[in-house]
Amino acid sequence: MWSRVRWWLRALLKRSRMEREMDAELRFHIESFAEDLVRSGVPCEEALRRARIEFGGIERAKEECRDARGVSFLDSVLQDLRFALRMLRKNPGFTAVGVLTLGIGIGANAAIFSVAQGFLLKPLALPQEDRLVAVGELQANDRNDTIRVSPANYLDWVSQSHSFDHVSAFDWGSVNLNAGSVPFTAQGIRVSAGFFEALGVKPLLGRIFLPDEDQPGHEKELILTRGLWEREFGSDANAIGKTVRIDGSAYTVVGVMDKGCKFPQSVELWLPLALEPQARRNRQDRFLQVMAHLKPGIAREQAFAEMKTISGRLSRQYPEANRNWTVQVIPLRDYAVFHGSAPFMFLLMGTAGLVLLIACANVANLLLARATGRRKEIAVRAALGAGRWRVARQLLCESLVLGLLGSIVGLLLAKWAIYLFLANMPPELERFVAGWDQIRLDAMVFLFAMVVAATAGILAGLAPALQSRRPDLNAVLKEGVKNSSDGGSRHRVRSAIVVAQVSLALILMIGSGLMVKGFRTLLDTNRRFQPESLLALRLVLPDSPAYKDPHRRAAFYDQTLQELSALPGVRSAALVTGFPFSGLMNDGTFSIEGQPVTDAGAQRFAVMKDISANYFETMGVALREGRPFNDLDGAESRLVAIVSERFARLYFPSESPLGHRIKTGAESSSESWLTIVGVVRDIKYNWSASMPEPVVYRPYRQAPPYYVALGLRTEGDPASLVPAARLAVTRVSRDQPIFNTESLDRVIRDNTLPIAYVAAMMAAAGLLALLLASIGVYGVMAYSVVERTHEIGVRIVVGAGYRDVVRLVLRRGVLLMVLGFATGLPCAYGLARLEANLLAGISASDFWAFSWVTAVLAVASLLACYIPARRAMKVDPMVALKYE
Amino acid sequence: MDKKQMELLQGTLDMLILKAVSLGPLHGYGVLLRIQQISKDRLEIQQGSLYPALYRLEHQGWITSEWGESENKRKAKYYRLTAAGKRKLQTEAEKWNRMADVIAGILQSTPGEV
Repeated sequence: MWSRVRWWLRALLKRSRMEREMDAELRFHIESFAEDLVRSGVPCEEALRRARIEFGGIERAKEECRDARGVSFLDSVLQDLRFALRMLRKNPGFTAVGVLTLGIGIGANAAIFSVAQGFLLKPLALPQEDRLVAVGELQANDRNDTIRVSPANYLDWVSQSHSFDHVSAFDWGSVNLNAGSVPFTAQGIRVSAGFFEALGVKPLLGRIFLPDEDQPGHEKELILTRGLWEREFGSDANAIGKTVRIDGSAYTVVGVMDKGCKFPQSVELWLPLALEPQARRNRQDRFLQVMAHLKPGIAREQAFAEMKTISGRLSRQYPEANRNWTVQVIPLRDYAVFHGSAPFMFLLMGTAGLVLLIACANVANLLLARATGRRKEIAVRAALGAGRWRVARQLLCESLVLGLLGSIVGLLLAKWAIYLFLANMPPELERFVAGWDQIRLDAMVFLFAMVVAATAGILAGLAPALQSRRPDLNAVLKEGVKNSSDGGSRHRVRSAIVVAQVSLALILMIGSGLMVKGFRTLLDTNRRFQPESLLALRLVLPDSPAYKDPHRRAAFYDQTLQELSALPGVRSAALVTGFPFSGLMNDGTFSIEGQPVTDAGAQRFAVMKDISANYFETMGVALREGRPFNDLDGAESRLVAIVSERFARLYFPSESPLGHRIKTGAESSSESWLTIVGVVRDIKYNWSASMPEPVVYRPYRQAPPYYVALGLRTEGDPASLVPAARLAVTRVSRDQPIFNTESLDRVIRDNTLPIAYVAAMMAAAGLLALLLASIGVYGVMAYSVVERTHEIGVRIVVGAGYRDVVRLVLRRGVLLMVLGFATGLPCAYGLARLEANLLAGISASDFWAFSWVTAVLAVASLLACYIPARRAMKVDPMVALKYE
Repeated sequence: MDKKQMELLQGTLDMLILKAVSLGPLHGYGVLLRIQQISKDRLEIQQGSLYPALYRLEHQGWITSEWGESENKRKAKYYRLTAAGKRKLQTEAEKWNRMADVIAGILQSTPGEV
């Protein structure tokens, strides 16, 4: 056994020596034989020839010897590889085109895969990610996948569940932080004890929260993210123990977490979540989110089953608060992934896949064309004893090498694409996108690229390899290389490839055209607000005793708006709880007087906006009915509301909503009734909604919020007003920071950036598809003209005009194109329907988009046919007839 | 070529090669000559199939090879029988003889014996 292994190894290592030895041995045999023949009287030159004939096929014998040695498979693969490289080197033009084409396809796939990986596969990068779950309540008939729970239910979960070794609740809240000089607003997360233990992370500096630090009165500590520590504390190790002011109270920095720990995604600092006794009894308001670490050996399904039992028990125990609420336990990863991103990622990956297919088709056609030229070579190889599988393998090997070379080009392209992708991302957005810092070329991407390259190589080489398996040796060896007598099946394959290519390109181009158009529509809906001249800024009032009283908040906004509108260069200053497309949802449930909901689960949702009286005027949105808010709508007067047109259509289809009363929350809630005094034109607040949402507006004095956005209609460049605006706010309250100070135009662009990326990537894919498909059509048509030169020459001699020749060539091209369109259009319609579900601005029956794209592709392919046709026209009959 | 040459029976070339090299180290061409000589030119051996058989036998460890100098002063690869090859040749020869006996017996049988 061992000796055989050694033999095998030796054979492997000293392959070339063995090859030389084999040659020497056979040469010795033949020469000795010839010498013997000479001795028996055969003439010298005749002897060697006779010896060779007697011996039989030398190459075949060698091949059998290699087989006998047992390393032949590996051996011949190496030989195939060397041969393939030699062939590719001999045809640099062909190789360059093939490698580049495949490289583009592979690069697109690798780049998009690495982005998708960052977004979908590993957004968190936490050490025990797969043991972490998010737990939340949801309503029985709710499609919503938020994970919210009321404090009292959460506390019962903690005491009753046994599936988790750590359970922790957390709650979002922006905080105003003053660490010395300029106050700023940071994204804070209040977390209960056990949060960091559950995540399984250690601090970079200092410590994590102690178990009793989530008790009221002990919660004055904070932990910084590495980003905030570097930015605001200058990476100073002495930051630990430092006292800072948060929303007016003193807090002590106790720890800094390393880069890897960023949960929830946009966090900048963590604070202890201290629930007051009253809050601990609250079962109605679901504002906490819960994350837990599974005990060893407990599967998520088991935990889910246990939580369902507990939740059922709580429903029976507290029916008024928990009826129709059930529980869900989802992987934390799913919670962290931006909900909307998965379908877009799959769309992009599918797109990249299609580009690769088109690229493969091009290379397959190139290989087929070359295989025709190489028929003689292949026939000779077959005649010398190469098996059919052997020849096919040789061809596959060549395309595989092309694919692997393509993957080098592809990875370089992907690196460049990722660089562009990351370089154009606004830094303030980076922290909101899950897995952002995970986007790079890593081992997984490399592996993926290799698999894609191998698949592409095999796909591209399959047709030529299969074709090579049935050569008619005699026919091929007898005929001239250029003769095309066997054209039939080869032409059919090449035509089929072109048809597939055209139809794939059409699908892709329509898909990307619609995506770009949809994105433009999305941006255009906001043109009427003139967002370039509106400075948007955000402001969060601290959760401190000073602002507990709603009047104090209203008074602050009154003064602030006054200060801001008095600034030179400001025409008006308005307030709203969130501008369109700014990512601030503010949706909630409401009830209508006299229209009770029949089913407890079927609650009515609307976007709730608290605004200043001049909001509609500042935005340039017209009132349809009734009156706008005015300064008389104060805290003491009748509570009023303005609703949007869509709201009116939905809930008052046959009458005017004016005078009707609505309230936020359930009908039984303690909220007061609001009288509808006006109807305003629709504004779409959430870009991903398919239609403008129903909106309820309230005057801010009657419901003063903590979070607001302020909008300044400016005369000049909005950005130049930022310092003045900041100063104006501090004149009202010294410690009050403002943030996200940008023109509304920028706000909208930043928030639709993911869609912009998708649209840009799809546009690039569409252009690539157009280019590759045109090249494909051109290649096939040009080749068919070369093949038919003789025939064309004959036709010209017997009197065919140039027109007839062009028609002859074009006819085939147009036929292929039409077939491609016929198969592509239905598929494109399917893709369009898919996209229409993703983005509001897209319609699947967009006749003009379909027509335009089809026309563009038709012109490109006709051009690709016309150039060879012109060449056919110029065929000189005398040359053509001598062409044989 | 002699018209009376017989084609080699399937599977017997290996045994003949082993036998040929059991009489002393031989190069490939020598093996051919030796078999033809012993068989008095009555067997036809495909030269092309000789070398794959040699490689196969070497791979199986029944013969080994080394480079040496031939009778006409040239480098040639010589094959010799290994101990394992010797045993193999013995069993193969016994098997062959038994088989030949049996078949001869069958062919010589007369109606009375059955």
